[in-house]
Amino acid sequence: MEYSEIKILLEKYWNCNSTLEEEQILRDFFDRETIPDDLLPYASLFRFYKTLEVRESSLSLDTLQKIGKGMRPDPGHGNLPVWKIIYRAAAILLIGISVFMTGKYIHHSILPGKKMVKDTYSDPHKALAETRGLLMMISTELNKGEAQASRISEFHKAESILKNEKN
Amino acid sequence: MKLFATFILVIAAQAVFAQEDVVTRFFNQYEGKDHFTTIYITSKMFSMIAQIPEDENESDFMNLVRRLNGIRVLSSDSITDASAMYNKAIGMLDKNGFDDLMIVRDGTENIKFMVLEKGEVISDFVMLIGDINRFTLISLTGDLRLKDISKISKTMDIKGFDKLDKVQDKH
Repeated sequence: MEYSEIKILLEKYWNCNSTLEEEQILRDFFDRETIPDDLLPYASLFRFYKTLEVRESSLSLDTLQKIGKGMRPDPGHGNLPVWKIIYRAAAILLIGISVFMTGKYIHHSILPGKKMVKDTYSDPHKALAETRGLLMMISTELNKGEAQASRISEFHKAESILKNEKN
Repeated sequence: MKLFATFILVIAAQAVFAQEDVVTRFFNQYEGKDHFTTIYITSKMFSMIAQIPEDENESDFMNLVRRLNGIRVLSSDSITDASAMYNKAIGMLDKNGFDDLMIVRDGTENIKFMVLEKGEVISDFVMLIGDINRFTLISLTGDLRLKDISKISKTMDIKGFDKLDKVQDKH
């Protein structure tokens, strides 16, 4: 490469007009031992660029990937095998259910009669009278029901007697 | 420490969010509305009743009363569609663990007895009455057995009416 040509290429480079091949020529030029004095300042720059050139690796792709793998953490399943995840979820679910069930019973013992309900009567005698009246009504209706039930059973009895007589 | 705190918080949350019993919920829907009356006799009142000096003839009745710790009554004489309310009550109780005990029909009147049983113990005994415009729900809570229910139907007779007059005369 002629000195003058190099200078032209350099101009092009500073103006960002150089092609990739022209840049390669520059890098190769400055890689040599002997460089004209006035171009010395640029030597270190292009020598640096030279080192950045991608070179054919002596290692195969497989080897490189293996090396890389060792250095990178494996994302995988968030570091846990599947069965562990299932066990953890089941354990949490079990704890949740048992706490819920316990809470139910503790609630009933700690807070019995949670709602403050107003007594309709303030006099226990009146309350007793009302209780008696209600129980009486309940009793009457229960007896009515039992009477109806026994009437039905009487009916079934009569029915079966008639059936037997027929035969 | 954090786990313990969370545990305590969750249990406390149960206290806030735990459901009231079905009869209370039903009462809450209608209490205070026009034409509805409610009667409450609480466990506090029942413990006072238990201290009333007992008549010897009344021991059966009083023993029964001692097994109760609460009575709730919801009633209305003028509802446009009482049968709908009657069926709604049956539905709600049914969904919440109540079993049928007896059904009585008397003309236009439908009566159903339902019980909430936990093993041998009946913790809630409910009588529902549905007539054309009339609805009544009576709930007896306490520590009852089926034999107590049959005692109710047996010991309550005309004798009871006499006692009722006596009690009212005292005041």
